[in-house]
Amino acid sequence: MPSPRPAGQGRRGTFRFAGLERRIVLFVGGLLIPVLGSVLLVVNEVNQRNARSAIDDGLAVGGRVFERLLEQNNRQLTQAAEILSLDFAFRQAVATRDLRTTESVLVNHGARIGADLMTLVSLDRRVIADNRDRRLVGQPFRFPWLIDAAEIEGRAAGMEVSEDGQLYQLAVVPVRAPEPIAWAVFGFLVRGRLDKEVSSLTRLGVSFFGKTSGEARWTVLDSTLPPEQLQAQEQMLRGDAAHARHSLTVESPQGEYRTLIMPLPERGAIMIVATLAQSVDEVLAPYRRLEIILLLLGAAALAVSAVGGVLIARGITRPIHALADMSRRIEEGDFTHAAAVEGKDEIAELARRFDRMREGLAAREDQIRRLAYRDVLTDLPNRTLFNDRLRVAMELAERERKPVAVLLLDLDRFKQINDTLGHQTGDQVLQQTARRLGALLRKSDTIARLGGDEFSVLLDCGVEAAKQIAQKLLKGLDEPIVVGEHSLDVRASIGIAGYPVDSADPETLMRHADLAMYAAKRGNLGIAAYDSTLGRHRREQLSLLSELRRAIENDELRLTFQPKIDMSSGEIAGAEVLVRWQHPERGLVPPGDFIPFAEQTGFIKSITRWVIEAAARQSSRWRALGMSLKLLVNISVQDLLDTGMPDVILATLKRHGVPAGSLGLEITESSVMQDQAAAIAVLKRLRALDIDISVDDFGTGYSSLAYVRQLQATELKIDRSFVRNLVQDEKNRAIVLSIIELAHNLDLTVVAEGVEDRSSLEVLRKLGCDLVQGYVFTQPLPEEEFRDWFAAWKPAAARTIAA
Amino acid sequence: MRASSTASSAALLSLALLAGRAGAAQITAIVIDQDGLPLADAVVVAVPVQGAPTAPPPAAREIVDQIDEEFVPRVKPVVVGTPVFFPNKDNIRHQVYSFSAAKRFELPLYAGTPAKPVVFDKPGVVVLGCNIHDWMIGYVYVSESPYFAKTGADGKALLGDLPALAYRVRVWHPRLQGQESATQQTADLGSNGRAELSWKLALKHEMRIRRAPVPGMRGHY
Repeated sequence: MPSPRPAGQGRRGTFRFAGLERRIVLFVGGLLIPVLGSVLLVVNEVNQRNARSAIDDGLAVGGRVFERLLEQNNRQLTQAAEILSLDFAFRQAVATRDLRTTESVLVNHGARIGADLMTLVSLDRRVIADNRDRRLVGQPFRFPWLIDAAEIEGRAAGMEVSEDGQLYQLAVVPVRAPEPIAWAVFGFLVRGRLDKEVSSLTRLGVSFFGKTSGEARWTVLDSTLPPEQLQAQEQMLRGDAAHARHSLTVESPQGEYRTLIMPLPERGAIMIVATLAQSVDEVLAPYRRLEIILLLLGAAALAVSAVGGVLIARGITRPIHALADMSRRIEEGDFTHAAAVEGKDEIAELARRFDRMREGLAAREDQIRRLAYRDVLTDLPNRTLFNDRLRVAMELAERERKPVAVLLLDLDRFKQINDTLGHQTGDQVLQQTARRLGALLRKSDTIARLGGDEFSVLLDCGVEAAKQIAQKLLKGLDEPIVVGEHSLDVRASIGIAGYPVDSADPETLMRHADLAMYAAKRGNLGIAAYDSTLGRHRREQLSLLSELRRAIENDELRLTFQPKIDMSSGEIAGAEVLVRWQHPERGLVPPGDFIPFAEQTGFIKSITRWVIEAAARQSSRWRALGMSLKLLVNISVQDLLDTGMPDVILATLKRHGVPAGSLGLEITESSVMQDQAAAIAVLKRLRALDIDISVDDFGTGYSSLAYVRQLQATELKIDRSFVRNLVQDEKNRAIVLSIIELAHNLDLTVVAEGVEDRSSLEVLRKLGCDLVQGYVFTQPLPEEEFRDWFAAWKPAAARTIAA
Repeated sequence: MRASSTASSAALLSLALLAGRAGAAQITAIVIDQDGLPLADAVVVAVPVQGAPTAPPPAAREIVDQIDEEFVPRVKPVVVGTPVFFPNKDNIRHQVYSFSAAKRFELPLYAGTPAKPVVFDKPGVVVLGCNIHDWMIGYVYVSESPYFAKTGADGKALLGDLPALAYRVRVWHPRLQGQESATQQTADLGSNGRAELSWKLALKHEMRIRRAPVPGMRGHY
C-alpha cells in the first residue's frame, strides 16, 4: 500500500483549480470592463456633445422664438391699442377733457384688451389719466421716448420698467380726433404672461434683468427660474456680459445652465436684458438615464459573465476535483467511489473513461486478489489465504485461550478420476466437493483448497468436536457426485490437528494435520487425528526410499512367477513376473508395501529396469533349459512416460538373447491417462518391437474396450474382483461374459486372474476365457520352485482340473 | 432773414394804407418746407395791423366734399361765420365730425348733402374726421380775417384785392410745427400795394392713418 500523499500536494492542486475560476473571471472582467468603460466614455462624450449642441440649438431657436413672440405681442398690443384709440366714444371722451370720464373710458377700454397698464398722456407728455395711481396725473410721462418713437412711427411698443418696478410690455398709440390729441398707453405685465408663454414654447427658463446705467447690480424683473439660479445669472451679467447677444454657461448650486443673453433695445434709462436658460442636467438627464441603463446592463453583463465564468470553471474544475479525488482514492486502493460527473461534455467523457479505468483497475485488482487469495477453480480461499487466516485465528485463540482445529481433507482415488475421465471431470468433482463441504460448514469456518484434491478446514473448536465435523463432512460425500453421465463415488480421508494440543505454530499444525491425513488414507480409516507416533511413520517412509535404493544395489529384490494356463490346451502360456523384497531385517516385504511408495517417489523406474533385467536373464536361463514361456512384467505410469523405455527393453533382451515375443508388459488402464499421447507413442513403439501389451485390472476404471485397443493391447486381464465370486454372482458373470465377448470381437486375448477354485475355473472355461491365472494352479513362486512346478505340470491334468 | 424783411415792409405798409382803400394791393406768398420744396395747402392769412377786421361778408356758402373717402379739399380756409356744406359724393355714408375747440359738431351718418350747413362761427382750426373712415382728415381753417389764401402745388398763394394797408401775415399748415403766431410777418401794402412774403416752414412728421383696403382691390393705396 503506497503511503498517503502529503496533504499539501492535494491542497496545491485545489488552489490551482480555484485559479482557473479566477482566471476565467479575470479574463471576462478584463475583457468586459475596458470595453464597457470605453463604450460608456464614448457614449458619455457623444451624449455630452449632443446635449450641448442640442442645448445651443435649443437656445438659438428659443432666442428666435422669444424675439418673434415679443414682436408679435408688440404688434398685437399695438393693434389692439390702435383700435381702442380709434373708438369714437373713447376719442370723444378724451376730447371732452373730462378727467373722470376719460379715466373710466381708459380703464374700460383697456380692460377690453386685457391690459394691465393704461395711461393717457397729453401731447405735451404729461399724464392725463392712469389706471394704477391717480397721483401720477399731471406728472411727466415716464417713458417719453416711446412717444418720440410713436410720433415718428405712428405707434410704438417696448419693454419698460414701471414706477413700481414691474416689467411691462407697452404700446403707445395716438388718440386721434382725427389729429392726435393725446397718447394712449396700454401695457401688459410680462410676469405671468409673456414669460410663461416663452417658457412653455421654448421649454427654457426666461428671466428679465434691469439696471440703470450707473448701477453695478442687476435687478431681477421677472423670471421663471429658481432664485438661486437667478443669483448666479445676475452675477454672470455683471461687467460686459449684457452688451451683446451671446450664450454662455452658468454654474449654480442647481447645476450647470446654458444661458442665452439677449439685451433688449435700450431706449430709456433702464437697460433690460432677457435671458433664456437651459439646465444642462435636465437635457442630460435622458442621456444620464441611458448611461445608467448602459452601466446597469454592463454591470449585469459583467455579473452574468463572472457568474457564468465561475459556473463554467466549476463545471470544469468540479469534475476535475472529483476525478482528482477519485484518483487519490484509487491511489489509496479505494475503488468503490465513482467520479460523480454527469453531462455530455468532454470532461464528463473523460470522467466516464476514468470511471471505466477505475472499474477496470478494481476488477483487475479484485482478480489479482482472487488469484492471490482464492482458488480459481472452486472460488474457495487458497493456501495463502488459509495460512493467513490460520495465523490470525491462532493468534486470536492464543489471546482468548480458545482451541483451533485444522482438518486436512484429501480425496481418495481422485487421481484415478482425473486420469480416466479427464481433467474437466476432475475439476467438476472438485467444484462439487467444495460446494458440498462448504454447505456443511458454518459461515465463520474457513474452508480452503490447498491444491490438487486437498482441502483444509479451519475450525474454532477442539479436536473432538472437529472429529464430529469431519464425520459430517465424510457423510456429505457419501452421495455419489454426478458429472455429466458419470455418477462417481468420491471418498476422502481427513487428518485432524488441533491447537494448542498438537502444535503452537501454524506450519507445524498443518504438517501434523497432513501426517494425520496420510495416516487415515494409509489405514483406510477415513478420519485420523494427529498423534506423535505418526511423525515417526513418516520418518520410516523416508528411510524406506534409501532402503529401496540399497535393496537394488544389494540385490535384495526377488522375482516370483505366477503361471498363466491356456484354457483350451492346458499348456503353460506364460507367467506374470512379480517382485518381492527380501528385507535383511524385516524379512519378505509384499509389493503392496513398497510399490505404491516407489511409484509416488518415481523410484519405480529403477525397480522396473531391475525387474526387466532380471526377467530377461531368467528367460534366457530357462530357454537354455528348454522352458519356453512368455514373461509378463508390470510397468508403471512413469515407465510409460519414459521415451527411452523401449530402447532399454530392446537392449536388455538383445543382451540376454531373448526374443521380443517372449516378453510381455502389463499396464493398468489408468496409467495411460496422465499423458495419453506420449504414453501411446511409447506403447506403439513397444508393440512394433513385437512386445505384447496386456491391460491389467480391467473393469475397475472407466475406460472402454475401444480405448484399450488404442493402447495397442493384445491381452486383457479381468480384474480379480469380478472373478472372485463368479460362481455365485450372476451379475459378475454377465460382466465377465460381455468383456470376453467384446474382447474376442476385438481380437484380444482374455485373461482371468485371481481364480481360486475349480468351479470358477469351470465357469470361466464356459464363458470362453482364454487364459487363467490364480491360486487354483499356484501362488506366485520363486525361480527354483517355479522350475519344479513347471516340470511337474501336466497339461492334461490341468484340463482335468478344469473339467 | 425773415425778421429783417418784415421790419422794412411794415414801414411800407403804413404808407400804403394811407394811399388808398381801393383793393388793388396784393400779397404774394411763397411757402416752402424745410427741404425747400414748395408746400401746398398752407393757409396764408393777412390781418390789418390797424383797425378791427372788416365785417364778414354775407355768408357765402362753402363746400367740403367727400370724394372717394377723402375730404376735398383737404384744407378749406373760410372766414368766420361761413356756413359750410359737407356733401357726400361717395356711394357710401360718411359721418363727419369735429372735436376741435373752434367747432365741435357731428354729422350723423348721411348720404348726399345734409340740409343744413355747419356754420363755423369761431376762428381757429377745425379738424374734420369721419367716424367711419379713420384715414379721412380734413381741415377747415376759420379765419378772423377775410384776407387769406391757400398755397397751390407750387407753394404760392396770392392774396389779392387787399386794401393797401399794413398787415400781419401768418401761415398755417396742418403739419406746421410750433405756434402759428410765430410765423407772423408784416406787410405794408401802402407804399406800392404789393408785397411778397416767403416762409420756410418746419413741418411735423405726418401721422396719417393708412387707408383701409378697398373691397375688390388688393392692398392699400
